Amino acid sequence: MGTRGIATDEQLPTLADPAVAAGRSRREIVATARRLARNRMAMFGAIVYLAIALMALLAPVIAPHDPGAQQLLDRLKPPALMAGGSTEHLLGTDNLGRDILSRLIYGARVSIVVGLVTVTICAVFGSLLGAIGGYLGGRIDYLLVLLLDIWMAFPFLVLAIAMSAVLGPGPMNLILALVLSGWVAYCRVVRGEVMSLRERDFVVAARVVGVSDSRIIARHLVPNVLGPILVLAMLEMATVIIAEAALSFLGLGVGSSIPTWGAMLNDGRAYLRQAWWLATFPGVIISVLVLSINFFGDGLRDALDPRLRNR
Amino acid sequence: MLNYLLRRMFLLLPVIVGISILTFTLIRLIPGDPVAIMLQDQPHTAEDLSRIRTQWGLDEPLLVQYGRYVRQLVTGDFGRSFMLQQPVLSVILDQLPATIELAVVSLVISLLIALPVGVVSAVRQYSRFDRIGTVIATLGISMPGFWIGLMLIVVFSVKLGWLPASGRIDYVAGLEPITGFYLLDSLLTGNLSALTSTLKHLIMPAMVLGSAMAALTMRMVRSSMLEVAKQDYVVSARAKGLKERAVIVHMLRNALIPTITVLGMQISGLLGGAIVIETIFAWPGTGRLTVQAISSRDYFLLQGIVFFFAITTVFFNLITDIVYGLVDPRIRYS
Amino acid sequence: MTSDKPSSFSGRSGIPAAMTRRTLLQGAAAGAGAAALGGPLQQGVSAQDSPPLIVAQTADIETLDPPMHRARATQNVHQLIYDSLVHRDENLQMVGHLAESWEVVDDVTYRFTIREGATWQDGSPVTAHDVKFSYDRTLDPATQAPRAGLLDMVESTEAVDDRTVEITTKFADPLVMVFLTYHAIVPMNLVTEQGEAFFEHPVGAGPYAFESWQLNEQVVLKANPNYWDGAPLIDTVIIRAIPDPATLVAELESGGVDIVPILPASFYEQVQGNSDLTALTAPGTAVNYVGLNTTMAPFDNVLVRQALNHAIDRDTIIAALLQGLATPISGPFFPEVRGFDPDVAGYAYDVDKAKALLEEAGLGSGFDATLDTVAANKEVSEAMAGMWQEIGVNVTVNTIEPGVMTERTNSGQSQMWFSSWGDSSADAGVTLFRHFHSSQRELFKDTGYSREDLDQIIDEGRATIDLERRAEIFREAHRIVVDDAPWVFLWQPTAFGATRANVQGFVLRPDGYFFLHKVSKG
Repeated sequence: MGTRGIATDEQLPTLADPAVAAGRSRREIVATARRLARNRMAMFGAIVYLAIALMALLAPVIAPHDPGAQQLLDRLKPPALMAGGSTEHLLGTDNLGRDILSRLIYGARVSIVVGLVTVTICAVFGSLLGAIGGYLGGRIDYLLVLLLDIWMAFPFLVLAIAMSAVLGPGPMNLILALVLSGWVAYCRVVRGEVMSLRERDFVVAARVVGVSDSRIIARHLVPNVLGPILVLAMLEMATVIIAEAALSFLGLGVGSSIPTWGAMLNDGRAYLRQAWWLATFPGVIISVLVLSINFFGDGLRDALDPRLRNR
Repeated sequence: MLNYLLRRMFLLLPVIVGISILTFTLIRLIPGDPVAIMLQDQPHTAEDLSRIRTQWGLDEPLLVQYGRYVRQLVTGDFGRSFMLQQPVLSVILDQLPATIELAVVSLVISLLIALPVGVVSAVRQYSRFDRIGTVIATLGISMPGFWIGLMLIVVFSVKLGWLPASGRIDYVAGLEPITGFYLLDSLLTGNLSALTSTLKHLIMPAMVLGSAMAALTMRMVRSSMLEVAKQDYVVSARAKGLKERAVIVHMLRNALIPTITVLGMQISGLLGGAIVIETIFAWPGTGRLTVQAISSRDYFLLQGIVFFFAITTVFFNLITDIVYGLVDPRIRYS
Repeated sequence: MTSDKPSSFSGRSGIPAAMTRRTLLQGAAAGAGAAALGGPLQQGVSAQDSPPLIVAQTADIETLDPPMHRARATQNVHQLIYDSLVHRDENLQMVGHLAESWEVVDDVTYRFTIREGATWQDGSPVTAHDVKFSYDRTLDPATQAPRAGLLDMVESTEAVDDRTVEITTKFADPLVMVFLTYHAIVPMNLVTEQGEAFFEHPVGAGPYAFESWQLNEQVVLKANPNYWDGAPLIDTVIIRAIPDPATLVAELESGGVDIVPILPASFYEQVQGNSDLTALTAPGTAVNYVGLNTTMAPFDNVLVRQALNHAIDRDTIIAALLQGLATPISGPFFPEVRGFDPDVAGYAYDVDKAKALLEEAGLGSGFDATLDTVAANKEVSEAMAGMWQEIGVNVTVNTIEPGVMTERTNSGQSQMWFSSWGDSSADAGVTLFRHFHSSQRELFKDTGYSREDLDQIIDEGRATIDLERRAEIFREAHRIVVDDAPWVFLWQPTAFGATRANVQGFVLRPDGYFFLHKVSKG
């Protein structure tokens, strides 16, 4: 799972290719969307992701039970379809007699929110720094590259663990730890993109005409790097969800009684033999969410890079 | 070439300085007074605390502490682990072979999966094989490693009894280690039972780490192959009627170049992943050592490990760059 | 000494094969005490090795130097290699080990006679000088031994003759003998000759001789056929460190490990349901409690603390979560402790009473609080939070690293924390002094609880040698502490361990130590 930390780097050589990010008109965006819509796996991924997001949003409405309500005497009840199970608890109960289905539904909130917030902050912050460095070049860029090289030297999970140990548990600290270790990827990609775009005709032309730097960045460069950032964000989202689970395993996750998939998976570890459903359902739903995000991310990448489609 | 190497090394200096600053700062931010924690189980006075603090130089200004830290690093002194009462560097070096062996085998497993699947997926883009291959490869990174690890243990150790659940080797295999790399050692000593035992112990943890890496590598191979496929020389090779197999081999050689960069970058991911996997499989390596250093608040050990990890990553990135240059004739060292 | 002697870290040569042992003998032969060392070990070579006995703990040893650690897992292994003057049997009764007899000369003087025929694993006799050397070394400030604190009541140790050693304590303390069980005796001559290097390949007087240690992998021990309590039944013992309990149990189930001396209660049913395994239990020597910071509102109000005590359904938690492996307690001591008052009723589970107490405290609508806990206790902590919810107290469980938790409680930052306190001395004085005496507040802010009258009682009790009188005084303290409720008193966990079904002669002791020389495999 730790290897996920650099998942994004795989994209670099493709994305850094200037053709990928070449000026894109409205027509091209429509074409990209059409290509994406035709990609069944990507669509499947998008639908699953939206379904889970919807589930998180509507958690109070659709969850059959209070996710925190304990029934110690009803603990470790199997799922409805198994002998001893009841429709009262469709996916069974956990080690404290809490309804697993309800906890999964509420747990989606943390996964989705932590994923979205982390990725958004990382993307904005990392891209901005990357754009500035890549566009301005010179000494500022040198310092940025130095910072990137230093930061990249620390394995993602090691950094996240150290940060969690420093900051203590809690959802906000988890996000902060993930942001502090996750922004580099965007910075690198965007810097690369911007550096190559900078030399392209339409930017050079704008500069010659006397358009200001900030305007060039806002009008020409940002729209062009959005695609790669989006792809990267998709993959990062998956990384973040797995990282939450890994940190929970090491006792450094959200830490409180808020249900999270990572913590559920970890709580079920001791019951793997007697009550497999404790760890299996969160394990499966994490895989499904990450898988759907990856499918969509792949599809998006393929759609943004039409050359990959026809050889 | 030598010139290029020297320049690269020189450029690494500021990076290493930065790493040392970051490591130093990070460790000092971790809550908990190391001295108080060290003495927590025994009656002690405030004077005892300040005496040891002075002895360790913890009451000096941070800048002075950092200066000493750098001086020590330069002489290869990583400080002393107060949990193990051994020099930090020797503890790390002692645990390193286990981690390297696991990492190398994981890497091999990931390549064994990624190369064929990646190539076939690219050659038959959008075929059923391509789709299934992608799904399986993606599954590898979609499942939390410790969950897969525990499932594997339940199935292969407890239910089937085929593989040992933890550790590096069976004591009864009677290996006499030389290098600390047990695969190598059992070959060197011609000890077949030790070789079997080592392999049996390696399979599960290496599969978990390897499958996570395979997904990335496989996708890299696939997209590079597709990229290469459009190149003129491939198109003309085909046009000239070259056998498809020969064309693919040719393509693969070129597609491997970007793949190498990914492998280099995955080293850092491997070191991170090893933390969890080594704990699950009771693997005596640096990842598990990290967890021990954190939970026993062994600051100097933790500082040493993090610094060591970072330097290792930098080193591998350098190697990757050099290898990249060697295999890609388009890059010139000027 | 010799350079080819395997060191603790580079000593990968530890993995057996007769060849290793030969190398080892050659290494030793070059050094001091070589001729004697050949004796016991050569027997090991000639014996056709029986399968090794594999014992697993969740942590590896930290060092081979007896006073230089802070960890129980380390102590357990040291007990096998070294030995101490006296020990306690599985019923916690004092028995002689390296001392065959002892007498209490006066309140502060103890005289021990070294066992006739007790020898080091190299064949030389254990003497009174070794005892003096070992204790002096532990107490020497230059050693900076973490375990010095467990011996600091000792004023001096004198070797009267080769077989008589006299220990003088700083004050009258009935616990001296108990504390002596914690301290290994090391051979003076070898340690003086070899210095630090000795502890890379130590020689002890225990049932098993050290063979090798590879950090986080295994410690390998070989039977000492000359052990005073009889030669061990199994030639080779391997102590493995497996950090994850789920993996530990999997190893036990698949036969990779023979004995796991300590396991979490949550695995009890699983072990019991497996006919290949034997589940072992023994009354523990620890208590679980929730500390309440009495310097913080609303925990500064005794009514609130009592309400929190009444709100916990200990029986249900024990039955459901701890799988029956605990006994509810009424106060800070378990029943075997000297000073435990059986007449103290404690706080029965009574939600209405708890609510009434909160009402009386002016907190009828409840309040919010945070409970610090570590990952291993998360489950129980969450269950308790659920019970407090019933009386309107909204407790957030904060799972943190053990090190962080220690820091938070020591510095008085924690509001509430789930903890356990072990006292294998089974004397109330230890617990009372550490947790409820004002003098400890400088270093351990903990609950911040302090009472002058209680301090006096504790001081008086600790200075009382007459055990009956001592117990009487401590019972008074017991009553005060229970009434003031600086803790939520929970339960005494039952020690739980497991072996493969074919393992015979393994005794699970209340104090968690294990001795293996009478263990065999069928």
